[in-house]
Amino acid sequence: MNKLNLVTAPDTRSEEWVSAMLDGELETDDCLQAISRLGKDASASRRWAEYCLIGDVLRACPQDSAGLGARLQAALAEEPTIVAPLPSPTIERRPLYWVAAAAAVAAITWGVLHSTPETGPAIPVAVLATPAEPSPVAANDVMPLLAAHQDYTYAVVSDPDMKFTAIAASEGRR
Amino acid sequence: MRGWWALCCSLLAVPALAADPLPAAEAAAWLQRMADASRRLPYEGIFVMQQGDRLQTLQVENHPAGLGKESRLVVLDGQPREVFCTGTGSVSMDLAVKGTRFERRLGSRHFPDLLPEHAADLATWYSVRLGDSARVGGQACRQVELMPKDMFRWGYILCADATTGLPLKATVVDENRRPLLRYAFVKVRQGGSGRLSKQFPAIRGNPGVARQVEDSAVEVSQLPPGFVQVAAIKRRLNHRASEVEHWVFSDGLTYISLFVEPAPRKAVNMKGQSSRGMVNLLTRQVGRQQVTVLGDAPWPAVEFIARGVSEK
Repeated sequence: MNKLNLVTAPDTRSEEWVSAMLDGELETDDCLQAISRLGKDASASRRWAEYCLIGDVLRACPQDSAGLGARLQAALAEEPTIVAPLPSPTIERRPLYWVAAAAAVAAITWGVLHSTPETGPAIPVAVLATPAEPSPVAANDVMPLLAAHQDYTYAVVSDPDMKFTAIAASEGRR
Repeated sequence: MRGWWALCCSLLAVPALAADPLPAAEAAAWLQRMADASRRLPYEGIFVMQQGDRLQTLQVENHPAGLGKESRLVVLDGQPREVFCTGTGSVSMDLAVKGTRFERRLGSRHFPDLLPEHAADLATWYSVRLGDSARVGGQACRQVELMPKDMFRWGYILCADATTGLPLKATVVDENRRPLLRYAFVKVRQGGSGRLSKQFPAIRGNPGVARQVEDSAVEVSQLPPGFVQVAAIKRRLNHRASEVEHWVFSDGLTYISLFVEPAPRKAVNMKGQSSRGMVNLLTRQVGRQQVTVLGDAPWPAVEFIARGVSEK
């Protein structure tokens, strides 16, 4: 097995009941049993102390933080190194927002269309496809033609500053 | 009260500015007089050319030679360049390049020789009016306006020497009389030695020679009134693998080119215009050919010709 893919799972069973007791999720009997066990299990006792400290820090309670840094370093050193692809970030979906935005746009459009005074029957309008801008290559290809044209017309010329726009094929045929 | 007087004065001044067009014969005489003067008279001087924001100063000398003429232009701004012109073409000398680079050009028109040899024919397509007297380059001149009778050409406002008829100033204008291109002598002397101060360069070989178009893939069914085909040649151009057909149409004053070449795989129909709108261009695909129509002409003229191009 490839060592890089080894993932050592931490022993979470002892953490679960400590965490559950701290969160008040254990029944009374279980809680008494847990307290009894906490006094005997050094690892669980240490974990209890750390969880309490973390909770106090998160709640911004003043604490005696002596040795916290050292303990965190030690805890980090004990953590296994996980070399595995990170899960792809999931896009937070908020369908309600999109539905609300779409509804707002539809309402505004409907209002604008119905508030426009009617001037007569609808006139069919031809829509030309939006032409693409000519590429610089296409424009550059025209410049030798321009020079050739000037070659025939004037003895002394200056290069005009040309601007090019693409047109629809139908416009060229008209 | 002062504004009222100004309005009255301006209304009274309008008839004086907008003179009636000259009768055909008189218009033709003025046009021919100016055209002949710019070819047959010896003259030399310095003129400026303004196109858009660009200003260029040139020195010119012209002398009759046989039935035609010889002229030499020296570009005084920027890169040193000289152009020698005859009735059939011109040679441009790029003096900034080591060893001097020669470039043969098919065109030889230059200020003040802008009007065609048979300039009287222009009176058919242009209304000719005489304007005020003026003074250009130290010489007295008379304003002569050539305004097109249709939308297919630009207008010209010339100022012809009061004695000889040599154009001392020329302005190409659009339909709103806005200037597109200006020429004006700063200094001019008419008469002279009778020969160029520098001899026409001898060029070996025949570079850039063009072949006549014999069988084209396209045909042109319509031209603007007064335009005729003056050339149809095949020539090699930069950035082109094969020869390109180059057709030229003109009314004697306005030139429009049509280029025909194989359509590229990704052909783009496009139009182009220079910053002041003097040069217009339209490229479109006709069958398996790509045609480009461009000229120093209004857009309707370019579009009119482009519409008339079809596959044979």
